[in-house]
Amino acid sequence: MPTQRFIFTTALIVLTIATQLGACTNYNRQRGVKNTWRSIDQSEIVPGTTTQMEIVKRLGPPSQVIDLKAGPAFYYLAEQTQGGGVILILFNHLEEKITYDRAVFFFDQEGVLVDYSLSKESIVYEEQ
Amino acid sequence: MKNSKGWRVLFAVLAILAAMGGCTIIRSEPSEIKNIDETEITQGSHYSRILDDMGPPTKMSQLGTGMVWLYEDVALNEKQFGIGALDGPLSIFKLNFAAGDGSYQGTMLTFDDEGHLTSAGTLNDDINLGRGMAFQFVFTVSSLVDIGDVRGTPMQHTWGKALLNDLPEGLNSQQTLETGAHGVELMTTPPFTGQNSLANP
Repeated sequence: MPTQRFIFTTALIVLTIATQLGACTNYNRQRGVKNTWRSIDQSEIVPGTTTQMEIVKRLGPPSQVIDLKAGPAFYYLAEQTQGGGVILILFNHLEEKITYDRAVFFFDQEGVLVDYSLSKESIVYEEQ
Repeated sequence: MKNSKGWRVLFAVLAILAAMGGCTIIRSEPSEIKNIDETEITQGSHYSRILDDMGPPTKMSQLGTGMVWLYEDVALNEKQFGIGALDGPLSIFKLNFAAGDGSYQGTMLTFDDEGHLTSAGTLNDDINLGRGMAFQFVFTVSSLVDIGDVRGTPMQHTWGKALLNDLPEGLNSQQTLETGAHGVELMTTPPFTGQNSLANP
């Protein structure tokens, strides 16, 4: 009899846990251009010297080209969405974090770099 | 006899759990946009200094002979409460009720033709995403409130492709606030006002 009670109690616990552990979820997706600006040595980018041609050769085409009066600006954007959570029958919880890894380069009318900046938040660069 | 009672308890517990349907919390965390330091960045500050301090803006555009930058971010929080059937085939579905809210932070900076700051303003606001209801599969977790206005695709991803749209959208896309030539717009701006109203029926 005690053995039957043990089996029954165990079955009850297992089934209850199984019911609750509906599913765990985890996802990671990336959009935009490759964040190549995280792979280069920043000392090679020198305002007043580096040109548009060199930036495009090193980083690839930008996400957006903005035609400012003072000269063009190249805007690079890589977006990463990381999410996860638990999907239970009784309670679900999902958390999502979106990271925008950005870089912007300002040029003068002659195509020479005037200034640039990389975002404080970044995505880990992965070699292909 | 004892076993029969035990199984009844087991089924009752599982039935109650199933009847609860599912309560859901969906949280979307914001990025970390630095607040503008008004003691150091004042009217006339050069954009290089702001760029160094705050990093690239989330949107930027030409503005007259100068330019405008916009830093913005949104945190969203959605709570759902579900009710399901006690037994039978319908027990794998639930009726979900949802309510969502959030917070918005936006900082806009304008510069003159020499790159000096001419104006700066920050908006911190609460967002009400409204309420929603849906009949869903019990293991489905999806947003039931309208987040389209505040959590869309960044325009940098779609800017080039928009120029290839069929006419007249292709032509009109060059006049939108997404091209970087006609200013910027706060994410929370209703679509039926201002310049966007021309593109809406």
